[in-house]
Amino acid sequence: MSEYTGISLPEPGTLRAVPPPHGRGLPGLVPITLTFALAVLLVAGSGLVLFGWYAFRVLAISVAVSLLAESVFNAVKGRSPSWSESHALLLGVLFGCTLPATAPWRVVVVGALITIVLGEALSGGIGNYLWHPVALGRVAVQVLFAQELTPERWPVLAPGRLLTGSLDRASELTPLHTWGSHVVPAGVDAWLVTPTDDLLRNVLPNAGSDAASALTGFIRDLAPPWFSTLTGVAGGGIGEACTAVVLMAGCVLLWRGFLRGSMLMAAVAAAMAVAIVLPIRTAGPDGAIVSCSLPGFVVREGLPVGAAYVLYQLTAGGFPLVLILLASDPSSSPLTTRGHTFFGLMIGALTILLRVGTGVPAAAYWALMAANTCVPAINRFTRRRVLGT
Amino acid sequence: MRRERVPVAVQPFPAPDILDVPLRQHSGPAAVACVEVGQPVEAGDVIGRATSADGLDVHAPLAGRVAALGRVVTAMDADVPAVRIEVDLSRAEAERPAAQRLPADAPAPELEALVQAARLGGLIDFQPRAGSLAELLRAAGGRADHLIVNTLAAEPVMAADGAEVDEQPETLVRMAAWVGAAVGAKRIWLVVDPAERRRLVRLRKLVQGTPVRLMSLLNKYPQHRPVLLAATVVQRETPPGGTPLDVGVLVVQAVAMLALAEAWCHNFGIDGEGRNREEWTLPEGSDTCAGIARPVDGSARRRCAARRVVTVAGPGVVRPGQYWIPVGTRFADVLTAVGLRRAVKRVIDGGLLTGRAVGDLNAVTTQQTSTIVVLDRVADHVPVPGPCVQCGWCQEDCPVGLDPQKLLDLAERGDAAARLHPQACLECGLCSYVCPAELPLSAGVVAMKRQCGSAGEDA
Repeated sequence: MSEYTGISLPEPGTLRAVPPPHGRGLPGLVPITLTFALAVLLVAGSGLVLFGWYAFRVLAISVAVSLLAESVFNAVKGRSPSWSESHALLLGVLFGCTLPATAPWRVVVVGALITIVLGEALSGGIGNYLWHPVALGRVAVQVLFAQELTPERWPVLAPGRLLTGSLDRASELTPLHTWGSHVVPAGVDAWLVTPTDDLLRNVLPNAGSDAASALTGFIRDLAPPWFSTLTGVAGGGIGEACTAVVLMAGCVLLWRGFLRGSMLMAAVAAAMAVAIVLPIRTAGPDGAIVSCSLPGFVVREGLPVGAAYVLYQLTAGGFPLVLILLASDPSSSPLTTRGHTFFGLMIGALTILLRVGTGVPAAAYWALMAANTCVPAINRFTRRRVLGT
Repeated sequence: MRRERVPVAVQPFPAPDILDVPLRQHSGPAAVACVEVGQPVEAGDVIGRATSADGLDVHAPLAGRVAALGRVVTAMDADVPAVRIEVDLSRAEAERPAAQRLPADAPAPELEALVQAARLGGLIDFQPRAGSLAELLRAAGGRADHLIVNTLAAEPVMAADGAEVDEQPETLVRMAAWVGAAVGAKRIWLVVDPAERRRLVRLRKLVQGTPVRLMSLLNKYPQHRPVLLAATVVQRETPPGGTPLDVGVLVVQAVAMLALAEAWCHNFGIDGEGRNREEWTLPEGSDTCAGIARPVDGSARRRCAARRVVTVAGPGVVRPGQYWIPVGTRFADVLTAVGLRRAVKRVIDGGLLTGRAVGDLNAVTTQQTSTIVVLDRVADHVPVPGPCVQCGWCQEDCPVGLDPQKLLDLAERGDAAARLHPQACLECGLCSYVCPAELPLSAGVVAMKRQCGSAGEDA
């Protein structure tokens, strides 16, 4: 008996001789699932605010189909895995975030099925798939439903109508107005905008047949203010539009160590480098295609329009979402940090190359799949050297 | 645990009335008891004799009478022969042993003399492999051109060795210089954690004018391991499965140096003031050592290897701190002496990451015990391994660059993979610790290591 406190020694047999370590963090896959869930929910939330009920519909269908597909697959296989092994909810929300809010329900259903069945289940489940299931699903629906997923204009909810408005009451923005500067007429809930990704992958109109006038025309007349690409009012997929929130989600993932900072920096650096150097095609006033090289260095009357163009390239389309939420998925990305850096380089460079060079929509997702394909080779070449060998 | 402040000064410990001294406290063979029931023993008397070159003599920590010869549990061994001593409390030295001052003007001894001192003291080498210090020094003669003396703790809670260093820093520096000269090292390094500012400043002053160089090294787990010390301090990489001696680096723990200093003084006639005693002769059965004053027959008190500074810490302990605890003290007596504030759920011999829990409070401390952690709460969940998500954290965090998830995969499939060099594994447990899927990675890599023919735990 201790003379101070009266606490006695434990009874014989109550102590266990267990091996180390003693005391751990959260058990199981919960840390991964919770972290990604937080990141994805942030992004989905921004989509709900920007696109309202339509976004909710897409996300709900995507999640429902994903969960159903996974349960059916497990039932067929005779397995009943625990909650922490269920990836479907996360993948469902993430897939929904890559689609435009006006996507028809059949697109969502087919895409979610491909994501879960082909991308995850048949590829071996968590840890074993080569391509990111969401990227696979997104490029699959892009190929199958090209018309529905590449309209001329996409709607974004107008100021004062966020979260509660309906995207089918959309109206055109008059040319000189931006999203926030036009008074919203009664009966209108949304503005129709052209997402920056679509602007950049198509041939730019060029009134003066030189790079400076093409880029100036793009920035002044065609593209929304760059700040709109950060706040999301420039339009895009449900989760793709608001780059600021995607960056916040990135901070969550960086903090927990799933997103490696070196990959982020390598991807941005590679994207910037390719955007600066890769010639862009513009259409002169007579219709002839003029190729403008080194667009990143173009300066017009002292203003760095080339640099602004590069900034637009970085936030356009699915690039931030792909980089931060899809490329950080452990199962389809390399093992070591050195591998991740190279992976990021590939994604950044390929996104811009595909977007500008081939004009394919959803270029970032194609780039991710190409990089995923190289992951086994990257792992082999960036394996660490054992001490003493 | 992290928020608790454990007093750093070493405190005396009330002598227990029973000591169960285990006859095996290292990885070599057990000693054979050489005393009989009822025989009175003095502190320092040999109670167990080594039977081979890699065995170690065992000494009585305190004066008393041999009560029984039996078996006991330690954190290392489930069942080991032991000698039970009823301690004579009237003569038990509860105060701390006096500091040993090595003579300032004596020439550095030869290696053989130091080896003899280690053998006579029955000293372990205080490293994970827990071999004999005498054998380590003997093997190093002529092979080591760097000597690294390590004061880094294995884990932050294990402050005991640092506390011993703080008690006798001059002895440490002098012994480092002696051992370095004896093995023929060209450079002698003393590694200190810069977070221990007082120790660093004090040692920096003391090494001036000596051949010992101070190196301040951040103690990022498991930097204290000899393989990693050799790689970081002198940029020499140990071949997988080997020891740093293979690349000419001798790594010794600071507490081993201090124990060796005590053994030296007691066995070769140096008193607490650093002066030679009168003519001494060695007891029967010991080898002689030419040119050294010999200890008096029968009155040599070898108190080394009989007591160790042990950190007792944990949220439920009333008086945590560093204590001089005799080898063979039962954990029950330790807990009673330091007081319990809350009900005990787990008692760990060692740190949280690498220590082994004891299932029975009659288990005893050994020479290797440097920390006792008492937990009042344990996260008693049984790890349920999930699927590997290929996050790569295990490979990224492995200190020697292994690929644990691949090795576990091969272990589960029954394949061998010598080309992945599993023998380099330090058994530090980091891979299992970081795995978010709770896979038994460390166990898998160790299984591959044994399968590919390694000798045992790393040096």
